[in-house]
Amino acid sequence: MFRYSFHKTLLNVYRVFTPRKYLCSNLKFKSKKCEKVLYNALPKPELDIKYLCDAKNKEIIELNIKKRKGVGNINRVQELYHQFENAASQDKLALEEEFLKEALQLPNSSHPQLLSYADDPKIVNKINEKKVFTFKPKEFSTITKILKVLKTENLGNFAGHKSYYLLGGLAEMEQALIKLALQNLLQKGFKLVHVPDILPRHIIESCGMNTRGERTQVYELDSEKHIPDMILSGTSEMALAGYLMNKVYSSNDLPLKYMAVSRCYRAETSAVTEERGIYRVHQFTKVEMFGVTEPENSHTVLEEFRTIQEEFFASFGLHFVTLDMPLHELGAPAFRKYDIEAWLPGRGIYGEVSSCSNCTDYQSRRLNIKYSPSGSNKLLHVHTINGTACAIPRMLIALVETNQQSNGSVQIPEVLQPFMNGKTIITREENLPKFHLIRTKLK
Amino acid sequence: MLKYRIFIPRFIVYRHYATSLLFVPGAKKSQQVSIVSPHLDFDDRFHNISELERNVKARRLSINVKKCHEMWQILCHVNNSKSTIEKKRAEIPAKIKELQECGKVQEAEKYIHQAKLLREELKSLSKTIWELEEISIPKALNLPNDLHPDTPLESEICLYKNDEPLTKCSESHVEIAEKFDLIDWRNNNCFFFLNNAALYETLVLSVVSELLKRDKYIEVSNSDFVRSIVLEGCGMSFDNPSISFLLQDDGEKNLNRLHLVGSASLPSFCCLHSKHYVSENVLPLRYVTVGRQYKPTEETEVNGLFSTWQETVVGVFVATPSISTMMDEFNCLVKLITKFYQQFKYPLKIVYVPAHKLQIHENLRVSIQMYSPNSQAFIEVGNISISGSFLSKRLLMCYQKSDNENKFLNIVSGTLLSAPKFIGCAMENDYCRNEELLVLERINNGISVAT
Repeated sequence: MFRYSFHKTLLNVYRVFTPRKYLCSNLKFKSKKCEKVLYNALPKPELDIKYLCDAKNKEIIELNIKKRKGVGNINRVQELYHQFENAASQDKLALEEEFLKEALQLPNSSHPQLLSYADDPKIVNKINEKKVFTFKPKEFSTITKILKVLKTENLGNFAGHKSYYLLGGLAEMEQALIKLALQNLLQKGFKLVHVPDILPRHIIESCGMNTRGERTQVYELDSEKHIPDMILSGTSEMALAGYLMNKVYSSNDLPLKYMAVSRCYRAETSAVTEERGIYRVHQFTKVEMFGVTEPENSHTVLEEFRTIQEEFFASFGLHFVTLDMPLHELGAPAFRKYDIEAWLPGRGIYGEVSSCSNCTDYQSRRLNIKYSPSGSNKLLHVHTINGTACAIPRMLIALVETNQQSNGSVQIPEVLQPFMNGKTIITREENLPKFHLIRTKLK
Repeated sequence: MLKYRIFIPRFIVYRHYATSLLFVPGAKKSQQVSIVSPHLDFDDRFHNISELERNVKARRLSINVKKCHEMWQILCHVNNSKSTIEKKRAEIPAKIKELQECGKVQEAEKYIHQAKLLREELKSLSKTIWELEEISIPKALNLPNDLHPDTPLESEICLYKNDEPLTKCSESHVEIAEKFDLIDWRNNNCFFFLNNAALYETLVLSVVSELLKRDKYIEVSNSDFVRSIVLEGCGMSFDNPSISFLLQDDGEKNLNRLHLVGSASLPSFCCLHSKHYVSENVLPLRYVTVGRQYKPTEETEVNGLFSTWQETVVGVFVATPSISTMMDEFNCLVKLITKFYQQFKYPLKIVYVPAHKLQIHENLRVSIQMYSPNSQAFIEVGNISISGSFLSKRLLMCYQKSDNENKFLNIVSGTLLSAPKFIGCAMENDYCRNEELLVLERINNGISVAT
């Protein structure tokens, strides 16, 4: 039976990794109140002051800032630190606050190799060849219209700008992708976590995302009607980082690999023609990977994440390239970032379908995530790595455009078939409705 | 000429009333876009006043049905008067022409003067109608759906109850889950299911949706956001922060704002069909989705997973052409889901909820409840409702036969399983029986039976 292979896989994993009975006395009981306080109170950031405020490093930090969109002022940071050190005790608090505010703006340091790149990313891998069609490949929107599996029209007044509904085969494909991604990751030792989608502002900001101002990419709950400073998460990376906040691990526990399936909310919009349709939307489902490692292993885990992504996309027969992203594309938290761009034959472009980043200690210093190295009493900051296992809308575009047939139907990749009750093709189904707008007032 | 105005009590005209997005009165049409024009079936609704009053009383709503009716009658009366004047005015040009042709200029002048007066009167009446509409229609839109004869007026009616013993448990599911490292609980707006709890959730939701898909349900993936108008269409208050999460205003001063409700909620399903018609051939349309529901619930010490902001659930929505098909679909769904829950052998009851617990769009609701040994109460883990054409008339969700006439869809909707509530109850029951959590085995058994 195809139908329940996913359930069986989960059950097998459950049996392998979980002892049947737990003894309550052996388990640590966490204080609820303590957890609450820890979650609500942001820890004081522990920045690498020794490195940042050493005059000898000024030049390299300045160059890093310049190459990474120019946000942050190392001169001001070092000046404030100097003032703080020499200030009278009554002025120290205010100066420390100002220093931290400036220092938190600085981007992470960068992988030295990236300095040799120009403005363009470096192609580090190219998988599969572009599929050759005997007909002119259609665009996602045309195919989904033929199949009646997507509704995007006349929804703005009811569900908001750029909202979309997946129906029938396309919605089944969404669930199949999630299940396949989860199954792959479970087998690779990732732990599944259910995360909240509404998070306190400070968690989001500690992950390196700006939540204020006109150009913010986040949605916020109405602060007059609800608890203030609650933000809709743009990725479960932030919730997972919040989950790990103030936690201390033993080096024997590391590396830890988590995964989460969540809804992601992004206020960003785009008028670029290539990003039409559901390419850039305000809400979507994503399976995310998140790794916690000792500093010396973060590079290895980043490469592992990249391999997982490449194997996943290759299993669908997609043609894609892996790019080592240049400095100006990193964003503040990443030390190194790989993007995967898949070929979208209908649009005739490569589109970003996934990325993974090594954030080294950028997030752990802001969220107080530490480990104790074996044989030492010291507590050091862990490194965090995040990566997209599967972001649904763009995966659907890539799969539908790549696997389209001349009559508009879509071949379902073999790896997804067991999760779609053995279905091999999405065709135009008569049981799906065609929606007609009511233009006149009813009597 | 003043006779039409004296019908309107002054207190009605000058009072301030809450805005409706669903119904935009004439006076506001220049400032507020009318997105849907709901079908106003108040003549039918007021047909049996005493029944409506009994309904409102049983639902424990504070609506003065007689006053609503009175206002509606005034509005109808003024509208009729307007029609009479319009008719009268329409006859005048012909008369003037006739008189002028006969050379009766003086008499023609009289009619010209009368036409002017009637025009002024119409202008004034239109203004009055707008004012009346603004007062009466939003109020009448708050009237609840009719009650189904099976809806109990006082206390619930039990449809099914199994014989599983009702045990007591001193520890809550949150404490149990913490002991087994299955949850990281911060508060009701933030919790993390860990390890097997996260797997339980994924599994049980997948099993239910597979079950539905085998029963010809179409899988859908909906929007998590809906606008205020859809909430009002579903009979929910759109400016009440305890009903839905309102997103920060984008500065555009748009009254029709965005709310985070979750893709598996009723309003999100309604967006798909609002202001649209489909062909009768595709009916009944049965949709199922696995998705979120977001509700701004208050935290209490004991509630834990029973009152979280975020739930992952299996949501259903069935659009049918007639009351009889709606009832058939409803009964089939109740039968199917009862069979599913029976597999787990947890204390379970399935009831018709009393009128005062219904949402205003509901005719009848079946509530699926599992026992919580810690709170020693039955907790609703799922529900199925029928709404007749109440939602469709407000949001214009229609179908067409070959005669091209729009008819309203009759709706069945519900949440078949709320994962946090189900897991919370299951863990408490397992723990107080065995001190181990067998829920996954039970889910597995559920799968074998389901296949």
